[in-house]
Amino acid sequence: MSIKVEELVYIYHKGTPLETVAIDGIELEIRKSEWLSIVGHTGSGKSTFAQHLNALIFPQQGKVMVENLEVDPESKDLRKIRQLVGLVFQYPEQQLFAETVFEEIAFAPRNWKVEEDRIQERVEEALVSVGLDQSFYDRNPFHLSGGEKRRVAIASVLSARPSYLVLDEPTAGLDAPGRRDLLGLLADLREKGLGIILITHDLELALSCSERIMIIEKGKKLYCGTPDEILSMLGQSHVHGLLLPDTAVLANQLRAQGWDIPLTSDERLLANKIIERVSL
Amino acid sequence: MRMPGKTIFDLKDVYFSYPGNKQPVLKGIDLKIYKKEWLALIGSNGSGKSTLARLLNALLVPSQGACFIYGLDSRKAENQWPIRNQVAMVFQNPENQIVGSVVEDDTAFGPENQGLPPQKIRERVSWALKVTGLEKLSRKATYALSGGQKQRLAISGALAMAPPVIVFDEPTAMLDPQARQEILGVLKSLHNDGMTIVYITHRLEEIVNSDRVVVLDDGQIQWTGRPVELFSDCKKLESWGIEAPSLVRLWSLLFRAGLVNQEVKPDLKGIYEALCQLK
Amino acid sequence: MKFLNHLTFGQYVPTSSIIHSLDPRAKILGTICLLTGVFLVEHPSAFIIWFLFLCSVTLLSRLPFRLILGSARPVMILVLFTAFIHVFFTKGTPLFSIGFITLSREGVIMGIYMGIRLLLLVLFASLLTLTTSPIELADGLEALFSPLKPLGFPAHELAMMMTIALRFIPTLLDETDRIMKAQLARGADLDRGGLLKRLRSFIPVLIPLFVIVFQRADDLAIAMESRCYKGGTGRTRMNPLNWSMRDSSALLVSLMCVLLLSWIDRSVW
Repeated sequence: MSIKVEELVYIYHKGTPLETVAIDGIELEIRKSEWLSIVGHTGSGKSTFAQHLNALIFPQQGKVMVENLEVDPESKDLRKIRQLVGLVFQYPEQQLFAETVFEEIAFAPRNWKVEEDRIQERVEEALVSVGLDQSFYDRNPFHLSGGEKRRVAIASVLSARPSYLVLDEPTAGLDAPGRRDLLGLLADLREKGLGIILITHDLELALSCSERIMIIEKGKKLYCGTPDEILSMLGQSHVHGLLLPDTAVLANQLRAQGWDIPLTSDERLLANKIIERVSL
Repeated sequence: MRMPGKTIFDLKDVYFSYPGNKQPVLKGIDLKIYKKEWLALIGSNGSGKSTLARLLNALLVPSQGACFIYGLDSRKAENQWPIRNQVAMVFQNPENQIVGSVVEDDTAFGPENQGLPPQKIRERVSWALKVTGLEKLSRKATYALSGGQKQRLAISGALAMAPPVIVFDEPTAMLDPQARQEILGVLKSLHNDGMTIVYITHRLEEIVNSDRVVVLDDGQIQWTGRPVELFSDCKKLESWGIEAPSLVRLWSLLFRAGLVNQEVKPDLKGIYEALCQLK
Repeated sequence: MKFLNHLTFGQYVPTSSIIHSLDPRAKILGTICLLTGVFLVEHPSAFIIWFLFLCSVTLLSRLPFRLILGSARPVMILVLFTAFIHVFFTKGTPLFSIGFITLSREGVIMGIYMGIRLLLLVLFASLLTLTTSPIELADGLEALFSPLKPLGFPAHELAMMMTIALRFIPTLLDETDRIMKAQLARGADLDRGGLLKRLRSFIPVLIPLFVIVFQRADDLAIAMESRCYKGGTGRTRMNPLNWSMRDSSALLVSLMCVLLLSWIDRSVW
């Protein structure tokens, strides 16, 4: 059970003077129940890639298969694909429109023709999984705090019971406590078996919470591997413009000076090793 | 740290509540900000920092207490425009500050409102775009700019009014890391040229170059001092809802172990050089 | 949706040409003149002359022809629709009938003429917006309406509203696209069903858009106030409008063409 991406190519405004290659041949398999982060700059193609996963955009070349269903404009399974892969856009609170939180969260399952008597169950389930409760049912989504709005927006995608959840910069605009809470929420969802696909420009964030990371630049897959593998791959080559976490850069610089310390972005580990090294 | 010059902002026991809300957002703020200073105002969401920012150019006036800007009482309506001519502001959302369809037309908006003669406006616009590095894009359509470029445009628009002070209200909150570096680069050069800067953020790594830091939490000033002094106690920061970035946490751990002292800046260069000297 | 902005909805294309450098007031008045002129003639030769006029102005503007013609594409449906109405609903000598709809000779002629007139109208208007930047247009309109200011006419405010609206069209298009995609991802069905159903299914797109727009208006007002905006009084311009001999001649030429053609059309043809 997985999402398979084979030799994906996507070009914006093909044939016009504004032609831009957004995705230039990417191969990837995303396993169910794994946390994969896709890291790249603005304009690297990561958002375009994400929108292929739930059939909002269609491949111009190559194939995207979501659990053996092909992402193709002619496909009769498009709605099934969109139900399997939930997509949470950046600043998802901007998509709120209903009069009550209940109606907002019920929108998705209703669109997927879930029977009305099962809707309440779905709404409750979704609310609880984002750390809210029934007391929110009748509240006006526009009167909630920023953090609550974002949770409701995520719940409104979860209520469709997707198997995978793609999130585009979910921590955008959040301060440190807000970010911690959100990542905790995602970790809980991951525990319950949901596949998490996190799209971000923050490599440090990805390193702290993902099982696997794919680095994308100019529409191409640069590296793909576990956080440790990524750090060592980046440590060896000079990737232009990619913002390696400062702690990892420092570790790299010290290693180049002959210091025997691990290549890591974890500051506690790094500090311990440095202190150890100096006291020798 | 620069020696305090003339007092530009003088907030005396300021309280502020939004109309309809009984709970004050700011409770008893006493703060002086000096000429040529880079003051960083840091706090978590809900600490009241944006509200405080808006008091500095008379967009809001205190519910209690007084706010004097260049000696002018912001509560007096006739002082509003003189204050805004001196204190420019750059906001969080790059998109919602841009009025013109073309870069130089938007930059000219401020000086046009100030009623300056055309030649003077052109000089100001040209200079402002040069400072922010946008001079080659002067005829570009504003919608086609990147996030970082839009925010630099907002800064140009503020600069073109030739203000001695600019207040930045979380200018990097909606930007990606690359764009954030662009903005901080512009700020550094402005500071070097003698601009007074009030910089509001919740990101600790952005205040490394400021002269003084004020920590706001729950509407009150909790702490004030030099940035280096703040970095040594990461636990205290967390209690105020501020997260220290990993490099600052590393610095703090090394500081406690005695490997770096307060003179070492908690950035890449500072720590690297200090550690190399140890060997 | 960035490409939508490059469709010539009459979006300004900066080039240096004689037409581009004319005072916007001259261009606005000139266009109004020409539009009137187009509706005052009836003879096919007059239309041909108007087309030639259009071509020469296009040449002078140094813009490619297909750009001007392309700007007519979005409104072609409207043009054809209007032509159709005239063809089928003008009374006159019948040519043939389908049921109770009669096609008349006069109708066909009327239809073709109206179609051509509308086409010329769109093309001339596009020439105006393609060669005049939004801020010039706003300044031009404000200047033309300023004699009405003492009567309470909000010339400056309207011009400012126009500038801001034009500035935000591309942004709003992008945001509409984004919200549509977000709702599609939640299973919304935006392109199925009859008219009423489609309108209703657009509510989850319209409401968020409204919220964004109102928040934007708030933020923008604060930003404008911070930049010392206090209305039109005392405002100067970086590029003030400058009426020159060239503008007078351009306007005069347009006026003369209109008068001449209408006279010839009336008396000779």
